Formats: sequence, structure tokens, C-alpha cells
Amino acid sequence: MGTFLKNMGKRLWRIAAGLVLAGALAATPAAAQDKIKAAVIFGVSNPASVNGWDRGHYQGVRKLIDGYGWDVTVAENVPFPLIAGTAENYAKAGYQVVVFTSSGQYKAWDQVAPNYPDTIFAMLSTTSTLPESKNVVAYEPDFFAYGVINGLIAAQSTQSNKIAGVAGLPVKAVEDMFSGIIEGAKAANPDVEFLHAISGDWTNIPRAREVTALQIQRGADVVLGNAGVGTRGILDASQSRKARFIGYATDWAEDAPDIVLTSVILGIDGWYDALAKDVVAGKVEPKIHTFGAETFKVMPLNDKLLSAEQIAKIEDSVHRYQAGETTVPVVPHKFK
Amino acid sequence: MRFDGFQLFSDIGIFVLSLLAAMLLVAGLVELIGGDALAALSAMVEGVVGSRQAIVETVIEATPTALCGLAFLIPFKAGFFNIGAQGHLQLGALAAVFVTTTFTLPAPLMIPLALVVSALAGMLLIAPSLVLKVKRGANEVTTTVMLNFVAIEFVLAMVTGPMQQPDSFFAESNLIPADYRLPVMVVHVGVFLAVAIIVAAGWILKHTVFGFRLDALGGNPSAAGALGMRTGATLAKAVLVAGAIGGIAGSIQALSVVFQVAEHWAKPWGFLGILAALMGRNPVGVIFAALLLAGLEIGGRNMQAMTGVPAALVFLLQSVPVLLLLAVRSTHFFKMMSLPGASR
Amino acid sequence: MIFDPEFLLSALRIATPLMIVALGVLIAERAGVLFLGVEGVMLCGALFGILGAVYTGDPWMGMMCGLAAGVVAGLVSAALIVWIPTDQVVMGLAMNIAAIGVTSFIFRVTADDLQQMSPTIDWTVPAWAADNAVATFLFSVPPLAWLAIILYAVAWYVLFHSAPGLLLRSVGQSVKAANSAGLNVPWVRTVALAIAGGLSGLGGAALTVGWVRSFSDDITAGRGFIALAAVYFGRWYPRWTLFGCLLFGIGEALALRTQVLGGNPHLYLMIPYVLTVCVLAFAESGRAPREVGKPYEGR
Repeated sequence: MGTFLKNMGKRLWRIAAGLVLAGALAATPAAAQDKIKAAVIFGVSNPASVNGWDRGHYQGVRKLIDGYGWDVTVAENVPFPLIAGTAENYAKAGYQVVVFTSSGQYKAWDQVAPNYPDTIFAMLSTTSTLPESKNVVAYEPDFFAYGVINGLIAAQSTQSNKIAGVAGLPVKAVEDMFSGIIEGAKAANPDVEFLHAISGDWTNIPRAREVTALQIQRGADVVLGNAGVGTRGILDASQSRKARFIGYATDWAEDAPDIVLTSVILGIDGWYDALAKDVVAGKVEPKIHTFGAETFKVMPLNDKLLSAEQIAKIEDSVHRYQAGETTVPVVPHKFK
Repeated sequence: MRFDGFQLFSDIGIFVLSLLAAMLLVAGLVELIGGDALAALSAMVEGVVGSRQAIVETVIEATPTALCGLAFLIPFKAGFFNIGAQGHLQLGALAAVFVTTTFTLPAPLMIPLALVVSALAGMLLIAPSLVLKVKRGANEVTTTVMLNFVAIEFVLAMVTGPMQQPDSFFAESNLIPADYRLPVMVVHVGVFLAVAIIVAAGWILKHTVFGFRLDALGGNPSAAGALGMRTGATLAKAVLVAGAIGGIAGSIQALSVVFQVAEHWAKPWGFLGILAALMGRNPVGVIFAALLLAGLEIGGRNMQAMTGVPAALVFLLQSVPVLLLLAVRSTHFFKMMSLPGASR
Repeated sequence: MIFDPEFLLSALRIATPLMIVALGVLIAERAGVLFLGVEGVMLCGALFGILGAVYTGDPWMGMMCGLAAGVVAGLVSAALIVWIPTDQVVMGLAMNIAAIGVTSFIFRVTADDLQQMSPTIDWTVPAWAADNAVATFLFSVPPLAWLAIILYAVAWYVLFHSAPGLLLRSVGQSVKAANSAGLNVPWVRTVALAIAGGLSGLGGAALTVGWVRSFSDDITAGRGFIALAAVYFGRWYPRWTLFGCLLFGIGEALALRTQVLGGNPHLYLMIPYVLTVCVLAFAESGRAPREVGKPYEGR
């Protein structure tokens, strides 16, 4: 028994040593390359498959890789307590750019950026403040304006004069967007009522589904969904009741072609574009770049659901708002 | 309990083999989707033992798991299944954040106050399960599971409502002021506190009357009652202490790692704790099991972040070694190899 | 507007996956197996349900796939829990984590670019019933809910009024007695776990294919544990377990509807859980099958 164990022990040590050696060899850095090394941190898992905000970011990542030739590593499903550590590890490993994709990562951004001045830390999500450091930059959308465009479209497509917005959590971006929807809808059609609901989570599909079914039961025939992964539940409820759906952030036409009116593209890959250009030109400075109404693109409206006149009217109203010819007052609403 | 050298050595040996098997599986899957298996595995190893910081991170990650494991183990000895540690740690963290962001006191007073309040919060959440079990025979599995969800929703209600950080774009509370955060001596002081609690618990369970009563209660409750033991009081103490420990686990995380509560701020330490408790079987064993689980988590996360492999592999890396370790350890073949008289 | 037929339908839609899964857990628990791995098995059924439905174009095939995946997962559980045997709790919890990894990986590899929703179940209110409110309501109930109720009735009969049911329950009550009566305990538990797995997988498919028509990582999000809690709530009796699931469905449906009253939605989202605990406060105690949780050590 004793010798058996001794032999087993010896074998184990050999295997372990071999593994460590292999690891050390593999970890030897490759020859220096010209590619910019960047990392993008996602809290969600498999962002490419989550239509909406996360896929929008993923499309931006692909732009960095395919369009700018960067060497991009994607961290996904990063738990909240580990975000700062992950960003730090990237900085320590010599990454030149670290991108945060969610406002929930602000604290990590604030904590890590000042300590690693050689790395650029970019926040590509809503923020009103910056960390006290020179190596930071932010790119964010104007969610109120985004909401206005959605409101204009919804108000001019609804037949029941009730539109619904379902979101995951009542955070500021959602409140801004919903406020924009209310004001935009009012500008186009003063009789429209906006029903809003919260599913409680950014990943809970069943809850989002049922809460949307309730809004449709209450009379809404146009639904706007901003619930992260849960938006698929919103889509299901809408499709089951034949309510129309306006896609959030990315193109949703393929997901439910029979009910998707259009999608209002947030243009997240445009933020990545701007970041890449700034990085390459060396013009990164502590600034929050806000992308306004002109940067949001409305996909072609579904001509099977709307008449040609309706489509023309909607497109016209959106263009005029984007060009600044019509203004909608910024009125913040409370949703809690 | 005699320190069984063979048991420990064989456990470590089997664990290493299980880990290697899991790593091979992960390597295979990485190659399957076109990734670099060697890079992934080396990133994993580096993440755990590659630097002093990595080891520190592993120890820090193990702390809440170990405490939640203790919170499961103590009532488990009395036959009470405490699945509620996750909820206790949520409320404990919330309580600690509330106290430190609302009041001002000198730090030497504030920190113990935060810990005490979080312990009370945990006890408060577990109390209904205890009362319902004793008075109504309601199964604690149901009540503790339900109350977990209640705690999570309550924290969410707070961070989207009265405790939300003003002007924040995220559902988060204010940050705990720097004065009230636990100091760091290589690792944050909470780690030492956790170890102290666990060692103390181990001693109490083995060397005091309370520990004996707990064992008696778990072994044969009717016999214990017939012998005149105040079973109700013993159970209550065990359960409430478990709630308190869960709460403290949460406040340690809040005071030393996350410094706030927020949407999805926590990891499932409560459930990993149950895993650690049943793997370790006694308080000191829980510490080792928690370190193992934490190592797998930190290593796996580093692997994912540095090489971009799917996050799914991190879950496999965490669970497969545990499955294999337990499976092998339980086989009759292995049991035959144990020396006679070795503790089970 | 809060309490209306739609509310009940919503409650039933929420409760249906729970009902089916809980029945599976009940059978396993009655055979003495603490089926903590139910969350993982349900998730497997959820994934394979969607894959089956999307790739064959038929939601019922998807259900079958989910059921089959559940049976396989149940047999794997049996291999680990019954035949080795190992600690049921740890195995269950570890299998849940493994299931998240496995399903996430398989989904990524096979259906990463899946955009369309899974095909709808063809179960609409027929034209002749459209005028009658009661008939409309009955036809709007998800077909799987009816299936679940039938399965519960069958299970009740088999468990308490038939020989095989008695054998199953005896294994859960006293392994020694069952053994001395000549029962092969591992085989009985394996069969029980296969059935339990199949039902849990079917319940998972009911969640994805039958309800939300999508899959995402960890879509079950603790619902398997809710089903487990329902079994304990129901004291291992089919009718009370069914009641527990319906109660939870009513609670969650209520939570989503009362949101319109204003205030913080998360406070309302606590309702189903608080409701379940409160009902327990008024219920009476019951006894668990005595062998639940203990591995069968052999002759």
C-alpha cells in the first residue's frame, strides 16, 4: 500500500510539473505586434446572442476586430465583484484599451483607471461623471432623444391610442427613455396613453412575458421592450397577441417579422468607431461624448403593417426631429 | 476528531485528479470551438497561483463561501436544512451598507455596529423559518428558499428606491465611506474574522455541551427530548446563529470587497457554501472546500477573461471536479482502500 | 382589472412548468431521493425542448426532446446518486452548476445565431366556442396545464392505490424493510429518477417551448427550486403539491399586475414568496418519506 501511494504520488507530481511547464511555455508572450490590444467587459453571457444593447456592443467589438484590425478579448458573464479585478488584470497584462459596456461597471472604472495611466479606460454607456484621471473617456447616447423617436413612431402607429414600454429595472437610462417616449408620443398624438411596466430583472424572460401580456390586455397595441435578455419574453407576448413591436438598439426584424414595425438603431457600433478613431489618433481625453438624435437610425418600416401614407408621415416626423426642425421639450417623468 | 492523514491525502490526490480531468474536458471543448486550449489552461492556472494577487483574490473569494458553509453546517447537525444563507448575506450586506452610509460614528464603533446589525438582519430573516418549523412543522426547505427571494427583492427595492445612489445610472446604493471599510493586511481583515468565527465554531461544536446537544438533536431528536434536553432552545440557538453568520458573511463582503449593494452584486455564495459544507463535513474542512471552490472560480474567470472562451466553461470547471471528487470518493473501490477505522 | 380571467390564465401559465416539474420531484422524493438536481434537469429539458422545436418546426417534438433530455439527465443523476452512491445534496447542487455550463455551451455551439422564436403551439379557441366566456377561458388554458392535471391524477392513483406505487413509497419509507421484502432498491430509485427526470425535462420544455418560446442561459432562474419547495410545501402529497404550484403562480401573476398601483415594483415582486410562507403558517405539519436524503448503502 505504501509503495503504491508513493508511486502514485510521484506520478502526480510529474503530471503537475508537466502541466505547469506547459503553462509557462504557453504564457511566453508572442512577438510584439502592431495590433492594438483591447478588452471589452460584458456582464451578460454570450452577448452576441442577446439582441438589443448587448448585441449592439458585440457588433461594435466586431468593428474593432474586422474594421480596425484590433486584437480584442471579450470578457463575458463577469460577476459584479470581479469587474474591477478583471479590468486591473487587463491593464497589468499590457492591454492598451479596456472598454466597459454598462453603467453598472462605473465603480470599477473609477477604481481602476487612475492606477494604470498607460491604459485607456472607456465607458460606452450612460454616465454623467468621469473618474479623476486622464486616461478615461465615455461615449453615451441621449436616451431622452432616443425615446422621443420611439414615441413618435409608436404614437403614429397605434390604433388603440395606448402604447406600452416594458423595462428590466427603473434605472435612469430607462426613465430618460420612457420620458422621451411620453413626450415624443404627445407631440405626435396628444391622445396617446403610455403604459409602463417593470419586469424586475435584466434576464428574467418569463416575468417580462407576463407583464407585457398584461399591458396588451390593458389595451396597448404597440410595445417597446428594453429588458435585456428578457426582451425575448416581451417579443413572445407581443407576437401571441398580435401587438406590434418596436425593436430596441439593434435590428429585430428577423426575430418576429410579422409584428416588428421597425427598430430604432442606437448606433452602438458608431461609439466604437469614435473610440477607435480617437485612440488611433491619440486624441483620447477625459470627455463624455453624447450621441444625439441624428445618430439613431430608424429601420425601414414594415409596409405590411402600416399604410404607405402612415409610413411617410412617420418618417417625415422623425427626420424633422433628427434635423432639429421640431423640438420636444425635455420633461423628466418619474416611474416609481 | 482524529486528524485523519490518509483521508486528507487521498482527498487531495483525488481532487487533483478530478481537477486534471475537468481541465482536460475544458481543453477539449475549447479546441472544439476553435480556441487555444493551452492558453486557456495556463490562464486558469495563472489566475489562481500565478501571482500573490491571485492567491489573495482566491482567499477573498473563499471567505463568504466558507462562512455560508458554516451557516449551513451548524443547523444541519441538528437536522435543519438552512438553504437561506444567500438571503441572509443579502440582508446582512444591506444592513451594513445602511448603517455605514446613514450614520456617523468613529470607525472603531461603526464597524462592530455594522457587523452586529448585519448579524441581527440575518437572524431576523431566518426567524420565520424557525418559528414555522417549530410551531407548525413547516418544512424549512420551503421557507428558507422563499425567504431568499424575498431578501433579494427587498435589496432590489432598496437600491432602486430609498437607498439608490443619487444621479447614478445603475441600481446601486451609496458607497461605504473609506473610513468604515475593513483595513487590508495582505488580505482584508474580514478574512481573519471569518477564520476566527469558523475556528471558534469548530471548537464549540466539538468541546462544549452545546455542540454535544446539537449532535444529539440531529441524531435522535425524540431520544434527546426524552433525556430532558431542551431541544427547542438548542435548535433555536443553532438556527439563529446560522442566520447571524450568514448576515456577517454579507457584511464582510460589503465592508471589504464591494463597498455597496447593487443589482446583482452578489454571487451564489450561499449555495456554494452548502456545497463546501457537505464536502468539508466539519468547520475546518469547510475552509478547505471553500478555498477549492474559490480557486476554481477565480481560475475559471481568469481563463475566460484572458482568452475569451465561453463563460459556460467556467461553470463546468467549477462543477465537474466536485462531481468527480465525490463520485470517486464514494465508490466502494475507494472505500475498500481506506484503512480500517478511518473516519467517514 | 387586476382580478379577471386573464389573471387566472397568467397564473396558470406561470404555474404549468412548476406543476410538471414538481410532480417529478414528488416521485423522486417518495422513492427516497432528495432531488436537488431538479433545477439542472429542468434546464436541460428547457434547452433541448427549444432545439427540438426549432429544428423540427414542431413544438410537440420539442416537448418530446425536452422529456428525453430529462430522462437522460435523470439517469445520469441516478448513476451518481444511487449507484455509486454519493451525497445527494452535493451531487444535486453540483449538477445544477454543471447543467448551466453544459446547456449554455450547447446552445452557443448549436444555436448561437438563432433569432426566430420557437414555433407556437396550435391551440386556439375554436370558432364555436368564441361566444361563450367560460368555453373561451377553458380553451385559453395552456394545454400543458391540462396535461399536468391529468398526470397528477394518474400519479395520485398509482402512488396511493396501486402496487407499484406502494413499492415506490416503501423504498422511500424504509430501505431495510423494502430490501427484506425483496425489492431491488437501486433499480426502483433509478426508475423513479428516470420518471422524475423526464417530468422535470418536460417541465423545462413547458417553460421554453410552451410558454416563452426562447432560451437563454439559466432561464429557469430558480424555478426548479420553487417546484422543489412546492413538494415540501405539499407534504409530498400530489394534491397539495399542485396547490402549492398554483398558489405560487397566483402570487407571481398578482405581483406583476399590482405593479400598476404604483410604487416600487420590487415590493410587489415579493408577493409570491411571502404568500407561500404565509400559507405555510396556517397549514399543518406532515412527515417526509423517512429515507429522503440518505444514500442507499447496500445490503
